[in-house]
Amino acid sequence: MLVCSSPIYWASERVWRQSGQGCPSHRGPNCPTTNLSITVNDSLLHEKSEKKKAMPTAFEVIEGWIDEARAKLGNGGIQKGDLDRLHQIISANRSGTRQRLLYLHAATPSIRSQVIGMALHEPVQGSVTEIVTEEQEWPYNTVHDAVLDGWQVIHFPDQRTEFDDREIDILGYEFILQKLEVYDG
Amino acid sequence: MADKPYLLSDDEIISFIIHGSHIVEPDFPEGFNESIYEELEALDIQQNNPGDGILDKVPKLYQVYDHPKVHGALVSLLGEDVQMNGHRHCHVNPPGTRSQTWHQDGTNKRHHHIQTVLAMYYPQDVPAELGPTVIMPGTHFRNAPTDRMATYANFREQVPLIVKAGTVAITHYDIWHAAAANRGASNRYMLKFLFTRGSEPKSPNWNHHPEEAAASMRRFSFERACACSQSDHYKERGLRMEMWEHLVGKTVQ
Repeated sequence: MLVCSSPIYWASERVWRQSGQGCPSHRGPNCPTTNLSITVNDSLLHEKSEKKKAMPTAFEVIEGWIDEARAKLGNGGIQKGDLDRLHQIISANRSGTRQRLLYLHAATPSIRSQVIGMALHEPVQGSVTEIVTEEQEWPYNTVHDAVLDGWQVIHFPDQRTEFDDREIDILGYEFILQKLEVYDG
Repeated sequence: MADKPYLLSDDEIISFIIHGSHIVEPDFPEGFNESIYEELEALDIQQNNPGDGILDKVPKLYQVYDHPKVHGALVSLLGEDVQMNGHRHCHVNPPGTRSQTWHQDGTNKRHHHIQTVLAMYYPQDVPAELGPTVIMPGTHFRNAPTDRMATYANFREQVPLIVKAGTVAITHYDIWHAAAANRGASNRYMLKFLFTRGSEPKSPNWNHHPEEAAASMRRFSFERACACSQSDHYKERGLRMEMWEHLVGKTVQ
């Protein structure tokens, strides 16, 4: 079975599976990230490895091309067709690549401080980002944890805020992170 | 002096100051909440919301806010001359909605006293899937324009008000809140009434015992309503004391 890779999915899959409501990032049994229907009672085993098999990343495809090219170097070298194939891989991935956005609100401007708020935005039509009322498991305790999982920080909180020694306003310091992933369709 | 029935204790007042909410579970007669739910259903609130006129349409609501437990909590927070505000609203959250964004009511001219509270009555059980009101503890001290909250979704310490029928959730007017998505099969109603202070406090209006209060007040220093930076927490401590001193009548107006 293939499943959506969103952290919210992984964080709350037990809850939505029990409720039979499907992927919580996209509300419903059809997950647009994977273009797959989710069977509520299926086993959770092997989901991640099967997802990888179905949708290799751009890096994985290019690494495959490099492995093939290495083999060819000892056997007459690469040809024009091989370069055309590489160009095709890059073009296909460029057009299918979308930006997943993850807003993490941390207690301080340090990437090591505790994450106190989170909002994930999937780059798919109809995806929903909203308040969850069931108990949540948090995929990342710090921004650093998210970076270790492949997220890239594209916005750091501004520390040059106006100084006020009495009033408090918004909660947390906002980091915006992205993951570029290839999407079908 | 003997405690007056239904008034809050020092510890409950201190909890309200720290967290910004107090839950009341009145013992209404059997069938009371169900009958209000049925009246609201019959009104077709989604199409014909009477706005401030909801009390005229459903006079039984007077009994909710006149209940001694509810009235006692309101008096404790807002004084003997607490007044029901002319503005009120019946919020209906029908099946299939999406969650609201976090917001504070009103505009951003705030204070750090208890001048107005929201008293939210739920005539039906509210399980997690029926679109509960979600509140964020401690945020009543934060002055944040709603636009600046637009990028928030979930907080680690948010509290969905999963309550049984008849519950009245009293919150500070400024607390951050939002209605969650209703993934259930029936309407979720919430009657939001506002109550306002009639005069500035001159002395505590709850069951106040200075020695017990002194012990509980230590909570102002160490208790976190929600995780935040240390510098925010230092400021929070000051704002909590300011709110307390106003309530006990020490603040000079």
